[in-house]
Amino acid sequence: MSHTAPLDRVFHALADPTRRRIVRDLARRDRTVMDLARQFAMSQPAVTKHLNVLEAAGLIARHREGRRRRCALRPGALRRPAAWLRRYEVLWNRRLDELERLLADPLIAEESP
Amino acid sequence: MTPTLAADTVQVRRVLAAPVARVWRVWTDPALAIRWSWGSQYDTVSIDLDCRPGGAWRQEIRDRKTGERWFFDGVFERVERERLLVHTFHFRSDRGTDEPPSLVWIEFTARGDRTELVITHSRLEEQHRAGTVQGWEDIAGVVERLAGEE
Repeated sequence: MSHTAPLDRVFHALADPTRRRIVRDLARRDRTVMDLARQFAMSQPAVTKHLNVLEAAGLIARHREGRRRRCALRPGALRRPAAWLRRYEVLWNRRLDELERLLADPLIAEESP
Repeated sequence: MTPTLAADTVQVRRVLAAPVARVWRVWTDPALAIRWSWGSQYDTVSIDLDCRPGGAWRQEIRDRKTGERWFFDGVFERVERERLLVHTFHFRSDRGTDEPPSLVWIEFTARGDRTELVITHSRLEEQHRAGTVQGWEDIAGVVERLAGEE
């Protein structure tokens, strides 16, 4: 699951209250750096610094739109490894438990090579 | 060879206390495959297993508690005896679940008289996309909770 950012990077990114507010804001709609600077009364370079940390954590993505850059939350950044895929991990592990049980059956051990 | 471990992939690894020939047989022989299923809570109702390239597989299981029926099916893309199985994987249930097809690699490696199995289930991305709305809610929820602790 290499493309999911390491969890400590995610925690580090979310440890800062300004970044949490940015993420919360982006959860509602996409914004430009200028929008965010205005909203949080910060300079654009200061906002960009926070966005870099959020992007490195895989929480947001930036897309160029003409001269502006649109920032968007990456859906699933936190959820993907947690819920969706774990379901399949559980399923396969359960199957392997069953397989192990059958392989331990002395009849199976006798009748096949 | 194996698909890269991307965000749309799960991988499960297990060393089994049986030689690779036996593990292969139990996995690919329908008469044996019907004897192991998806967990003790489930009954395997039927199984079709045509284990050759282009061959189809289909399995129906039933949840003993709820009676829900699950249907799995797919087509074998690669079959290398006692080494590798690659097949598509499609899951639906009689309660409305119908997931887009994904891909499963099962690698068999002899480790003396034991066998290492590596299962790599990929192309789950489409399903994740289908759950986009939920994903947004989740991330917003996590942040909301964190913010609430300030």
